[in-house]
Amino acid sequence: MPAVEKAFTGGESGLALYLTRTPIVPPKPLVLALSAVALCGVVYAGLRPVGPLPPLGRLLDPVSGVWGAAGNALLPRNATVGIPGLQGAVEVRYDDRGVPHIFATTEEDAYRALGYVVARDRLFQLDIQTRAASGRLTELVGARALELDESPRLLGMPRAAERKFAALDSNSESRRILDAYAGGVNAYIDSLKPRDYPIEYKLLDAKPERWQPINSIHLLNRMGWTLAAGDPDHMLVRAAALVGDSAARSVFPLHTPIEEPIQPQPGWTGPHDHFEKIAAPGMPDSNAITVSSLYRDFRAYDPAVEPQQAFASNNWAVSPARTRDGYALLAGDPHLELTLPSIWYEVHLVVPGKLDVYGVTIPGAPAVVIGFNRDISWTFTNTSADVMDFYRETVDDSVNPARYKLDGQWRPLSRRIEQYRDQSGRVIHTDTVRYTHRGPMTKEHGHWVSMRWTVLEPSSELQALYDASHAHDTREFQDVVSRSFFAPAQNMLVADRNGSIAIRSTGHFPIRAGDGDGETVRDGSTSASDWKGFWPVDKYPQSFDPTQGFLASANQEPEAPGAEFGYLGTDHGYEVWRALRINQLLRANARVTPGEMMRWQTDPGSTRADRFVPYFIAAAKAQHDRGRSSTVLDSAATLLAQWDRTYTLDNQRAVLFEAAMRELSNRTWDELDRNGVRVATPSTAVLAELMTQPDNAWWDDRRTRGVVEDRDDVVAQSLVAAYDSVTRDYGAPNAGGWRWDKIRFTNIYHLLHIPAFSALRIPVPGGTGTLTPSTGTGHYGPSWRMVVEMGPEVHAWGTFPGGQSGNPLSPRYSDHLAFWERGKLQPLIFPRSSADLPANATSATLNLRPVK
Amino acid sequence: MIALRYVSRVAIVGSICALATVWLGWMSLPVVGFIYSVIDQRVRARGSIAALGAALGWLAILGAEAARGADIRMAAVTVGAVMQLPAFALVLVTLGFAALLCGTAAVLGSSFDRR
Repeated sequence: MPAVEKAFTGGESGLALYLTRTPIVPPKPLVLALSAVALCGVVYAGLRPVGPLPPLGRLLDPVSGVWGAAGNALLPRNATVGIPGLQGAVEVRYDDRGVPHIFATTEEDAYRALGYVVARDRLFQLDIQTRAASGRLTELVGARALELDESPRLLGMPRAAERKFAALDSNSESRRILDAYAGGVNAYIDSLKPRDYPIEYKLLDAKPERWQPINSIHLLNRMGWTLAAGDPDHMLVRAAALVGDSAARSVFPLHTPIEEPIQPQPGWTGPHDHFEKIAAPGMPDSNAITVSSLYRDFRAYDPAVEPQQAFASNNWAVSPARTRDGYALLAGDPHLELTLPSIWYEVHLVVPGKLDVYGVTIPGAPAVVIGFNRDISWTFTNTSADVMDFYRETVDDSVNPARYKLDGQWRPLSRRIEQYRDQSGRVIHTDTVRYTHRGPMTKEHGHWVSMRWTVLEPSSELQALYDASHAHDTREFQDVVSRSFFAPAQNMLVADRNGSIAIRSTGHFPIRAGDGDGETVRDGSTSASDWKGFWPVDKYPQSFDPTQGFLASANQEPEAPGAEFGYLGTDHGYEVWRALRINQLLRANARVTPGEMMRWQTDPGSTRADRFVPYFIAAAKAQHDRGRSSTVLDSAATLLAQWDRTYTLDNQRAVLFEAAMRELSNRTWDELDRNGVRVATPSTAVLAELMTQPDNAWWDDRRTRGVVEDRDDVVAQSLVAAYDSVTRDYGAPNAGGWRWDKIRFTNIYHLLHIPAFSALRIPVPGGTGTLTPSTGTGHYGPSWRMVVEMGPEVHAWGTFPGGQSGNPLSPRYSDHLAFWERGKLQPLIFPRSSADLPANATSATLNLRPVK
Repeated sequence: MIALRYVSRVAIVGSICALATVWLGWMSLPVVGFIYSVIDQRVRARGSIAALGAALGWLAILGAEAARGADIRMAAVTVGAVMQLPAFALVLVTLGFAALLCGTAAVLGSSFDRR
């Protein structure tokens, strides 16, 4: 009997006997061959990427692979680490929210420790954000990121960062802090073994690279790109190419038709409507047709989507006279693209006698960007200023230019070769970027166009943030930040312990030739087209301790028309509804409390709905009076009339209004469609202006030949269409499908857009134009909410949609999210010394020691 | 007694696999399987012993990580979702990968048996 058969026949020679004692029988060739193939296959899969997967060996290795990330999910309760370059010992105490409180003896040590703790929690984010800013993502993920990398390089951003960095005095505070921070980050990177790498590196089969001090400049430039790359000019030009210059300027005005400026206006007790007769659509403007082809990155607009500001930040401050407890209050919630991990990282830096600042930093930036110290608190909203201009250049060779003409003379173009490398360092693509004295030049539809942009100009925002951390009162704060914070321009709101409040739109605002606005592509062949300088600081929109007792900004137009330097941007770059709501709430309350400030940050009320809903109801009535009513129109109007005009989670009417507004925008601006594609959509404030002109020619729907519609026709049709679409998509009005929390969501994606690391379909209150807007994609929203009471002891509350850790396997990856969803802020612990931080509020301790 | 011998072989191979992985990484598993198979020629089922040992060795590493506080379950759920696998499948894939590396190498090693 063969051994194998014998083994399976039971008795003493059963399976165990077969396994251990059977005589040696060499495996059959087929088994050997199969084993060899299987081994080769599994080793190959272990070494080489398979499809989208990285090599399985390093990925699945239980020590150094993805499983290792679970072992790093929690910070050790106590750790002591040596860091080169430290001048003295630094104690880092993590509170029960995972916020590091850094107690150092010198400021350089504090920032070195900051670099270390930020890298410890957010290393991959540090890396990918700066690679994105400097156009080096291909080095991490290969050619698929080439297009993403080309954008910053063609905009001249890496070159600008290099110039800013080179311009830093090696003994300046900024440079010393940059170096110290980099030292801290690198101390952490150097301490890592492959098993300690963040999980994203394991999924990408990559490793972190050492941090360069210039990376922080790249990062701050990237913020400039995010917040100051908006150029409203193309809207006007494209509209003019369709409906003529006069009509285009009417619907894309310089100034917002509804004004509630950041800088309070003498004698104003509420918003002002500056409504003018809107010019009827006319014949296309031939010059505009030519100019519109010079703008880069044309994109079509969804005609059914109302334009809205994604970066819908809010801030407001209240003087002691209007607060219940007699202390100045400040609230801020900057709205940005929401990501996991969050763009923000909370930190507290203490250097006795020199620095005591709490707030949020952007991983990679050695500074508290928004926060408070013992004397002041501050926060920003985006000024949305137009600080990017284009120039049509005359060049010596249309294909490969080497010179450009200025004032009749040929000038050499400077050239910079941009090389893109893959993970192995191989060059995979090369661009030649040419520069005039204004900035980078690109070829657009056969024409060479250069650009000037404040983000590329010399500046030191880092110095401004450093100085802000040390300021003692509102005046000092505004003065120091105005000296060196040039881009992206921000509405900087500050409150101090003396009860003072102040706001200033701070940044470099160009003084332009001619009419002073930036709404055109200028002639690059003459220096007369160049910027003439920048606004003097005393002309910036600003206010110190206004008599009204409060200040508020929400990306609205900073100052009323008629100011000496009138052009900051156009109506299309601003948003008015949130500013109206904040001012409405502040005017109605003369005894404001911190709790109310927190509640207002998620206030569901809508001044936009207050403005438009009556028109829908009136249009239904008008159609009824004209004998053109219908059951659907009457039902829809009744439902809208029942609405309390809020966007709470359980609200069942907001969906109808939003659909009606989409239909209205689509039907009203059909004249701005070119070949069925919407090229520009005016703001909702302009739509509100048009609502007051019921017979304006813009109301006529060109698609209905032989019929001339007026306002009430279009508004009623929009409401009926909205009712039909909402009932089709969500069922009957009272069946539960219309609840707001079933319709609008926030989607917070991981930096690599990995769904498993993301928080998706989070129901949130708010809609377009509310203080906590949820835009259609749900990718944008309040990235950090903070309320500070500037009493004898500073009390503060805050939260952000994420957590301190960047490790998706950590319980601190998204532990603040539950608070954020509910609109709750968490008390922020602000101890003066490590001894003041209670043991039960300490989750971990890290002792940093100097080493050579 | 016989089963004990089998189990003890699995335990020894598993321990060696675990140590080799900690010190040298995943690529050490085929080497361990091959060498084991060449050395332990008295046994026929060296392929299955090596495979089971490797899988258990890696399971022991994961267990040790869990004992140190790592949330292995959450890692399986999250990383499994990244790879579009249920959590248990990711664990099986991981252990199966170790088993294949070590087991197939052991089968190949058995071809060097003295006849």
